[in-house]
Amino acid sequence: MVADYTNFPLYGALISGAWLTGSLLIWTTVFMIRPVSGKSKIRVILDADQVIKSTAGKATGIAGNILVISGVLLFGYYLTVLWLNLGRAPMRTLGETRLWYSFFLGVIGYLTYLRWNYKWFLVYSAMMAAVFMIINITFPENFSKTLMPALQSPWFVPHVIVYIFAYALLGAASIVAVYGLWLEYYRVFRNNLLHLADNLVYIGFAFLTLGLLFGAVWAKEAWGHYWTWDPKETWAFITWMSYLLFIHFRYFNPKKVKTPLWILALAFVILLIAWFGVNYLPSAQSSVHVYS
Amino acid sequence: MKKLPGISRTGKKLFKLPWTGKKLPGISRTGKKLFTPPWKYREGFLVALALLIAGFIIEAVTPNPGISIPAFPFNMFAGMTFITTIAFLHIFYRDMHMVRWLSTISAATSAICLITLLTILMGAFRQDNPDAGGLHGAIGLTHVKNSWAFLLAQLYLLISLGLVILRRSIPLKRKNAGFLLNHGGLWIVIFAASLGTGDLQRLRMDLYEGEPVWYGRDDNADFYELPFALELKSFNIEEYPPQLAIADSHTGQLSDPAQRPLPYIEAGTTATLLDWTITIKEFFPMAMEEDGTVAYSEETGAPPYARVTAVNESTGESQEGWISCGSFLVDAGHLWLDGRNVLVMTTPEPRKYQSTVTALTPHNDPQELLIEVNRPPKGAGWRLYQLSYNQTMGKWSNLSVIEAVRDPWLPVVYAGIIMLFAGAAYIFWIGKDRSKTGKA
Ligand code: HEM
Repeated sequence: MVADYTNFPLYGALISGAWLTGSLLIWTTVFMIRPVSGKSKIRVILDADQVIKSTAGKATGIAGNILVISGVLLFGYYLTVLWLNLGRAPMRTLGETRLWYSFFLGVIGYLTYLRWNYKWFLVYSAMMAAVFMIINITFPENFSKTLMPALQSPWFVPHVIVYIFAYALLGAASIVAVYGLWLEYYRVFRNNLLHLADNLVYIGFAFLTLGLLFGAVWAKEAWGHYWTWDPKETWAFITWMSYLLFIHFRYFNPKKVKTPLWILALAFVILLIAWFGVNYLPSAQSSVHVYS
Repeated sequence: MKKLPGISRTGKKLFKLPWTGKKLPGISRTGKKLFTPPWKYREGFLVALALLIAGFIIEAVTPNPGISIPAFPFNMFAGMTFITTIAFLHIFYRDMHMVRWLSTISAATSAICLITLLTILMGAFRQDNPDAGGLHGAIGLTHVKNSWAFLLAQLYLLISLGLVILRRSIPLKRKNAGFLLNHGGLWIVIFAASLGTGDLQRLRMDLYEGEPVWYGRDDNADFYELPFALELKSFNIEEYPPQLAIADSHTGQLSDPAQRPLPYIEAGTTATLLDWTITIKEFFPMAMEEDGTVAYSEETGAPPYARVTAVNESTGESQEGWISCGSFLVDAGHLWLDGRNVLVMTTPEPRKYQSTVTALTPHNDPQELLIEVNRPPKGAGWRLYQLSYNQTMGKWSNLSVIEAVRDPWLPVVYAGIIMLFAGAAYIFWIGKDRSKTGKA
């Protein structure tokens, strides 16, 4: 690969191409099965249940895995080269954080698939990652090497990475929620889906807390106070509380299905406001966090 | 079983039947009267709603917008009374239904929802002018964080959270470690951060070179004397080099759509932008122009200048001239490449803001301090932050605005933050413990 790192359209197309094709291949293996007796094919497609794969299915699965892994590696390579060339962490602008978001979303989708064998989830997260890359391709921004003094802090990189990682996990959880709601209203809901959501939310929430705390410590160093109820901070807090609500509700009402799913879906809407929407709210005239 | 008129099968009151003449007050869906034990979510939300309305009313009838937390020692007394009350409730009234209910998930959920609702209002309304009129101003929505409603909500949350922490921590069990780190840490952070605002001082000091200043100004433009004086020796801005760009004179945007970092301008730089090969022949980081000649200058307001040649690779056309980004004193200078595109120098971006000051205290020798963004020097309970400067003068500013911050409760808040860090690590590691809720 000798492509110029500034040529993101090329990288973006290659990466999302590999991810999408790979995940679709893995997903199609559910069609190449000899179903366990008595199971309808449609249940098997959505299910993570064990099936006996044919040889063709195995080969397709391996090819899919290779494609997905090469997508991850290529993306990792791209981010490294970008970082080295800019001479600063590429985490300053919305466009740059979108890159990390797609990266983590793809990685999490793959890890989740490896751990829980949800093939549809792999396809979904690859699609989400691709959407964010397409946004970056359609709205290019000039990379710049400068980093304003307030961002030159040892807390900056961990703060952003941890946050983006949390966003990616919680975004993934919300996909589960939407899918769960669809199943609940139109099909048969299965409770292991909520367990997947729990796992994603617990890990995502831990990272969200870390991001909030890193941010507070950094703000103390840079601006003199750890919490000023700046609009960005306010919405970050609201996001945090929404997931807190989900965790407690789930823990104490393990049999309820619809309410936690709705909480989760709405929490993600709030997360999106905190991430993008804040810049457009009337209350955000003077936010220190609106850089770009 | 005889069916009560107007009550559905689930016990829900459908409507009042006029001919029965008898109202069945407050019967909930489960057939339980509201506020008869055991309390559940419904009661929780009604308590939260009552607190919200009470907060709005108190706010509306009291004269000043919002409340302010008193300074030491009164905030300390208030805090100790609060803790004692919670401990007292836990020790002597733990079996009272109301007290026990406060530590349940129903009360906690309603408290979380109440705080979240108020925070959403805070995030939706502008908060920068607490005196703004209107109904929403009167009930405190222009200054939510200091409003009565928010105070009551915080007290509700702290009481509920405090009681559940006590219930779970006595006797202390290893398996409650994660719970105590998260809930205890959060309790300490909210408690100390709120009471701490009473003692938090953020004072602006406008420093001009050579004039010692021993007082600061707060947001209300009140002046306070400080236990030290600061004298500005020098303020300077370290800058990145200026950058080279081709702009489209019709749109005012950059002409090159690729996501390329713009090349830095230094003597000898060669760069290709669009079809043009551009070479920097001469570069002065500071210079002045007079009658068409540019010469190095250390004058205040002397901007960077570069002499460039531009050769169009496809047409062979070439241009040469001086470009500059200008300063508060001098206009910017561009080089026209063709009828549409111009070669411009961007204004250098700051890499570092720095003030060198001498700190004078009554008892110690004068001390020289370097104040930079993200590197506040500390001492005697104060931290000094580089806040601002004269922005029209840019790096020639003879003014440096320093913010002196004192927050004696900070160590307590940090203790809570460290507990929350540990709690987050715990959640990450353990994930959800399903043994208690069962395999649903
Ligand atoms: C750092 C934020 C928080 C985290 C990570 C968290 C997490 C949890 C978890 C995992 C549980 C159930 C597991 C267990 O019992 O150990 C729980 C229980 C509980 N939480 Fe939280 N929580 C947080 C904040 C809050 C807040 C703000 C409240 C509001 C008052 C609250 C009130 C409660 C209550 C009442 C229980 C039930 C405890 C019991 O009945 O023993 N939590 N929390």
